[in-house]
Amino acid sequence: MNKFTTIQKQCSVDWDALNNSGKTVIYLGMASCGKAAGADKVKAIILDTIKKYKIEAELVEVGCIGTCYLEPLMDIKTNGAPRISFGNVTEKNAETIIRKYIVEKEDISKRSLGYFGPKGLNGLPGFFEQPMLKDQVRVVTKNCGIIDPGNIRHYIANEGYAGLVKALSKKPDEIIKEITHAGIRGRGGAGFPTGIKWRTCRNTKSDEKYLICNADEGDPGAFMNRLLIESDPHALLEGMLIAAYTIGGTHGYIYTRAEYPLAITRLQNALDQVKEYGLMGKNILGSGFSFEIKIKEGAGAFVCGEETSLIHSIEGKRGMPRTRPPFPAVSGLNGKPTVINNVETLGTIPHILRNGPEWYRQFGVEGNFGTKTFSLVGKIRRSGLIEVPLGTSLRKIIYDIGGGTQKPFKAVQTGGPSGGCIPKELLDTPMTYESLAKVGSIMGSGGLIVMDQDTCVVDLARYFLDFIQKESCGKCTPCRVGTRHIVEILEKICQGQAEPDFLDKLESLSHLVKATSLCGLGQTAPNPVLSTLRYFRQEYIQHVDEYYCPALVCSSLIEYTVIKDKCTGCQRCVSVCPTGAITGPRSEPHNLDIDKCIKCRACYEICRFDAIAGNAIVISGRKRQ
Amino acid sequence: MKITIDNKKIKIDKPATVLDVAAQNDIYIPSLCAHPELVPYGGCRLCIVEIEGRRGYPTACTTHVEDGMVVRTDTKILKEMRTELTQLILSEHPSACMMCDDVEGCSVFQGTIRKVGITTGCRWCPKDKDCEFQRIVESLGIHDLTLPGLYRDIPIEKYDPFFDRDYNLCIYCGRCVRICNEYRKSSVLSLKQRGKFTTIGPAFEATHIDANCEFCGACVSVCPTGAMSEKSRKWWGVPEKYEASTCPLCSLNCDIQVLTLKDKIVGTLPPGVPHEAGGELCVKGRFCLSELVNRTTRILEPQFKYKEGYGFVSWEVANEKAVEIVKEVKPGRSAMLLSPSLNLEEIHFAKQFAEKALHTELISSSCINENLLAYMEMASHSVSLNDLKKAGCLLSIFLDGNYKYAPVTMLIKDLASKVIPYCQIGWTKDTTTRFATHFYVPKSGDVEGFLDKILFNLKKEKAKTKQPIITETLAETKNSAMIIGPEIMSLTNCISILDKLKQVAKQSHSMIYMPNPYGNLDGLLALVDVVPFDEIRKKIDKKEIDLLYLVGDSAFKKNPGVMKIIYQNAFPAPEDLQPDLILPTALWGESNGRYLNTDKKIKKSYSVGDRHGYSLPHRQVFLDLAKSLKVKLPKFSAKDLRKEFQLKLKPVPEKIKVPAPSKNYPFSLVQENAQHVYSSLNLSTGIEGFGDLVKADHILLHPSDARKQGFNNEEWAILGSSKTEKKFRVLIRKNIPKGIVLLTSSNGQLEFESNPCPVKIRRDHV
Repeated sequence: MNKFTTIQKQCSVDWDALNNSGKTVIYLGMASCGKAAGADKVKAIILDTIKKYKIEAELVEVGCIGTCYLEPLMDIKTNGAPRISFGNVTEKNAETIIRKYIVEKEDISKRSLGYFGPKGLNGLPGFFEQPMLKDQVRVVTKNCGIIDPGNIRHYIANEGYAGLVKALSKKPDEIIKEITHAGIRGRGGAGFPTGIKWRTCRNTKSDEKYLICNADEGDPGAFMNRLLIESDPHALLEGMLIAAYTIGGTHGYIYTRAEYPLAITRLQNALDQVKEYGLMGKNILGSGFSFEIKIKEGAGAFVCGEETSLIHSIEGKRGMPRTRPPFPAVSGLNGKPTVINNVETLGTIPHILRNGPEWYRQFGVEGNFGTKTFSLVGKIRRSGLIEVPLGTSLRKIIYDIGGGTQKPFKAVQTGGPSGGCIPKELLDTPMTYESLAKVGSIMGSGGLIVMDQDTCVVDLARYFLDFIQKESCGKCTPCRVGTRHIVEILEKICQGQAEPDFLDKLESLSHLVKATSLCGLGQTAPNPVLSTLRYFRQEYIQHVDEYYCPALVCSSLIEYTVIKDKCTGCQRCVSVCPTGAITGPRSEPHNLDIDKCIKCRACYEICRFDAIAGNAIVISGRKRQ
Repeated sequence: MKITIDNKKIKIDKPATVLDVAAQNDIYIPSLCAHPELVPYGGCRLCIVEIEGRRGYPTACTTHVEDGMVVRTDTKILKEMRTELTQLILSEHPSACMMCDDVEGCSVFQGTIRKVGITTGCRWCPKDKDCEFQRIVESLGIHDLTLPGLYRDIPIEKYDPFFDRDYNLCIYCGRCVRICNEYRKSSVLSLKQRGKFTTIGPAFEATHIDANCEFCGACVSVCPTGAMSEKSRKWWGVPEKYEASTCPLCSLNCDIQVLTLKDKIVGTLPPGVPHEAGGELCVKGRFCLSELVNRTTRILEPQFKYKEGYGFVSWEVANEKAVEIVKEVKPGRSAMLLSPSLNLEEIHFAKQFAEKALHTELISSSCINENLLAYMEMASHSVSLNDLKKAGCLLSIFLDGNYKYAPVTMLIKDLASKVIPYCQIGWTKDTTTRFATHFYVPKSGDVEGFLDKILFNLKKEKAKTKQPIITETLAETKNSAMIIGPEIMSLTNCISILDKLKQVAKQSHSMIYMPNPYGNLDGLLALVDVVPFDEIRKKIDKKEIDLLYLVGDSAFKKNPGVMKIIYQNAFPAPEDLQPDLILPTALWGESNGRYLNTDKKIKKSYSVGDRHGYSLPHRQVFLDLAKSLKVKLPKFSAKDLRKEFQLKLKPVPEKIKVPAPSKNYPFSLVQENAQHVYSSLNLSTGIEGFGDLVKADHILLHPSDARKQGFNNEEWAILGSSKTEKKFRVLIRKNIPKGIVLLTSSNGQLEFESNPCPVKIRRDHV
């Protein structure tokens, strides 16, 4: 224990030396979002530039701070100035920024997004005072984008593993009491109180107990777990160690998907480090508690996020759910008591241990304490990962944090494909487990897909149901066949082949699948259909009765036309049309052959953005008279 | 515990599921995926019930009863949902057999002729009228489809022997997958793909043979629909009777039930309720028996060889001719060969006939040689299968149990999965290999040396050599057991190897279990003082035999040089044998009989099917002949069976040196003699499907060995040892270890100078 205190001190000194000395440090966001935006190339440019100008600077690869729309994000700290951040750095401007700011010492801080740390810089706002960040409460994401996820010393310097040290000095029952009092609920979606789950497992007698971290994040548009693992893997490991100590766990697994290569690499690296620092293995920090964690890569089946499927998958069987009870906390992996917690739940645990349950209870509302991360995506101005206290209204999230939509807002899908669609009338719904269930949706793991008026809700429901149908394991009848019928009906509606009784059939099938499916996948599968039917029935009726798609999305129900008066005959559309549907000589209005048109939207897009006239090609719905 | 189901108060004394309790109390809850032998699955969702205090609609099959539980099984909403769920299944499943307007009158008036039936699909389902799904649809009173059809159009799988699969009829109850994995522990079948592409089969699109399927048919037995069907039975229709009997195809003599339709044997199943009876049988008992009995080439009438050629004769004439032949022969100058598949009564009367009418003691069987006698002598110390269940560790030696001895392999798998150490020595990876902690493949010239090492280690206080696992396992566990397979009989040094094994067993205090591939060899040896077949052959060569009486045994391919041959069998004689008199006999299932099995228990088999043609049971033939000869044959009594039979054993012969593989001859050729023989019919050549599994006169190679030599399946290869060269077709099998070439020869003769034998392989370019 004393040895670890020494390490803590050393780490703090190192961290201080890195951030508060006269050294020049460049921080680059290198999570998957940053890499996708070109951070790898920017990194190469930075290294070249440093060499070129012989700058004595250190490059620190950090994770993602959550403002994904600003990636790649590069922060620079120079002698005397705090760490300031530059967004949307590209290969082209990276060198310029470094040259001007570091070498020529020009004041380009106005181009900066803000500064980090306590000390400001002439007139520059703080980074966290940006509109997207100022309303957030960063608990789990506290270190994300700040520290190097590949360096355990950074984590330790930021109070890392202090929670574990505290936990090891307590009795497991005390910890359960604290966690229960803190009121944290499972962040994977169902919101089961974590304290109760742990107590059940602790009270089950067994020679072996397992702890599994569910990092099998598969919802389209959700990336909370990935970002957290990539940016702060040690928070998860610390949470797992505390949880294992509490339940008496002997073996731990992190079940993640093979599609998260970066997350796996960083986790593996982190595991090696904790072993090296004596924080994992036998007799951790001299407490007599031993624990090992293994990473299990899944093959990316959506159903493996369901806990019994996940267990089967780890056991080497086909990922198929089974009926509960018995719950995994009683009989789970290899028939032994098993606790399965989400990445975010486990990532929060160290903070509760460090700061106490009362501190945690200050966030959120009664029954829904604490914060929750959401991945804010879709037709929103500021997309990225956010963390807000539970009970925050959707309006605040979408308009204040996300900056609203460009076109008029239509709806927001919470909880991924298993969740529901919430219309603008209900935007004041607070984000709590109960209120979301009341409006026909779920909290889910935290995906928020924002839609504007260009989104067709029927098409949306079809997309999600198609996803669910393709990911159904095929074990139970309603999920395997029922969703297939739902998709068929939705496809027919989208193609304008609907019959009058389709909506009733859709509803009754949805209720059947919901009521009789074996696992959570099937039971929540019809949510997108039921919620869109509830709030956008008129749009369905338009599809069914009038063969009209108001959002102009369903390709069978729309037509492309060239407005002869507007068309200048620039031929841009002719060049992109894959089927030769548009013809016409240069400088004369073009013709569009509807029979050849496959409605690929290419001409429409190019006319809007590239052509001389602009908006000469329009999409219109075919209303049945 | 007290619970209430549909207002009925029920007392329960042991844990059970709601479905079980309901069934015991005559409360019907429809269900498709539940099966008494299998872990509850909850896939079909038809058994949903309402339970007070529980959310939603739990399934009765997965819910365990608790005290005070109040269950309702037939509320309006439950009925509606069950109907809707069934409609969901019906939308994928062809339903012409149920939804047709003519469904009532069809079976009576045959309104749908077969051709139309094939087009509409109604008469084409092999499980029509025997289908659990049909019954459920009927019980729910569904007469119309409410959902559009979503036929999946999956190609029908017909490329594996014995059963066809049409997964368009599959309702995904998962019973086949579960019985394969949980009960049979074969792990061949699995659900594959996701969503609407979900289907069932071996992983990676392998064929069943490649996936090491044992063809136990458990999956076919439990399938509630026509998705899986037996090739030989699918057109017969629903069997009328299920009758208990005994399988005559190996020394285990498993209990079976025989399915008959209009007194015709159409199939066999393990004992139990149809659709539930699992996979206790091997492929022979499950699929080959009915095919054997129904072979088209059976002898149907007595035939006599006149000067002009063969003529069909009546039994009276045949008897006369037989009497003539028998009377011509002087005492002691005739020999009788018996099939070891005959039942005890048949053997008894044959023996009595030989003694009283032929006045000879030269009784043998073509399979009886010194190796076999040595094997059977050791096997007489064999424990019973029940004793084997108490084993603390298991060692199997040359068992090769993929297509035989199913109860033994199942026992091994069962024990091994309960963490009992299991080691295997053999030349093929069989169904048990997956459970073995140690699998040793002896190379040519290696067998005795290997056993010597084990023996050496066992004798020492502390074992420390190359194969410590087997020695340790044998030495350190109580109740160790050795299971020795009869393939050992074809090895060159069989007798000395058996001697070694005997010493190993003694040293390690192991019990031994030794099955053999003959239905009633134990019975034959217990009733008759057999002479080795070679002695009879020598006598024939010396012209000391005038009459050869073959009873279910063909022994020779052509007349070996005797004056007269009487051939009494159900299957035709080899073409060149030219017997003087051919007497057609009934087969198993057509006459009553008893068998003595490896456990030394007497098992009964019954006459359940009509005899073919004018065939008579062996017993009847002997009694009639004896009557004509005015000889009286005493009745059979079980007391005639000798508890301990003395076999004329020779001393352990000097070891012949079997060379080890060398640079020039890198492969170890192992020859297994196809001992799957029933009443002179070799199953490998006589039954097409079985021939696909155990291919006679082919050499089996590991895929990587075949790749190195550039071989494809069915290509000719020349196999050369230091002395001979022979040509065989190649078959690539994953279960053959590297460096091993396995040859199954149909004539039972050794093809090379030793077995095993180092060989080289090259392509035949002609």
